[in-house]
Amino acid sequence: MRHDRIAAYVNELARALRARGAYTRDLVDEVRDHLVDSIEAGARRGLSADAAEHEALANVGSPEAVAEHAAANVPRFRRRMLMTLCLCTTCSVAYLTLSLLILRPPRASHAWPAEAVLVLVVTALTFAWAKAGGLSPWIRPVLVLGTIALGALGCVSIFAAVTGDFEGYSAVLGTLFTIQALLTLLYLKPRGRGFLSHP
Amino acid sequence: MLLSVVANTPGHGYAIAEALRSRSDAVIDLAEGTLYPALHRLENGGLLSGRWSEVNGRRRRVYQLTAKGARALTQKRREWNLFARTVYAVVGGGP
Repeated sequence: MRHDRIAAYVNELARALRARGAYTRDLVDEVRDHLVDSIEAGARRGLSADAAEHEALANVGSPEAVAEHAAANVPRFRRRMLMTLCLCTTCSVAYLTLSLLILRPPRASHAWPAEAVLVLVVTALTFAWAKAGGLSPWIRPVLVLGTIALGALGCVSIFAAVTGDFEGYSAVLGTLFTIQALLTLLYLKPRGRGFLSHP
Repeated sequence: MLLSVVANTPGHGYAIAEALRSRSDAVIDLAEGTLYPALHRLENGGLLSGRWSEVNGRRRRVYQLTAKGARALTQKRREWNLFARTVYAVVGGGP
């Protein structure tokens, strides 16, 4: 079926772009429109629907080739920054888990839920950052909202340490997480666009 | 080449690919999908501006040359002419 093959090509292109951190909805939409134009032009030249579709897909090139060219547009700095953020968060998770949950449990019993939530949020962010190489449409809002949550929990940790509910080092951790969240939000802010809009 | 295609008439990707093929008598026959990353690269560089609009009842992303792109095109044409003249001077012949 004509539309099935076009849809399969577009899906494969989106996957190849995400794998290279080069996904943008505009690019995928434009290639899809190009295929439709090409098929219509083939039909006007008298080709059968199947032949026109075959020719359009052959002319547009493989999804991998298109994705390779698109990957050249992704600044190397941006890819490195995403990997660095991912690494920082992973280290934060490991440190927080070891220090708070194994080596030095929180003094106050009611601190456990808050710290557990913190660990879960940071873990989720690690996956989000890892996926963010592609900055796919669905991951961006999750990443932004998760980062805001991380900053909020960092502030709570600082407050709890100041009021004596958490041990002192929680203030240091909270400060680090808050700074990490602020830097991430600044980094994620697209030029001239809202936080939640796709670049 | 892409800048020169949209220099006079803004166009969407398929029209640009067709113009490239017809102007070059089908000598330039690139994988058409790779045209879009190139257009985005020029757009990111501020040489082209792209916007979605309705063309013949269909939603298209139309590209047009910016002022910066026009200056870059002039410069590239100058460089190309110099290069071509130099090659012709060495190997002989001419357009």
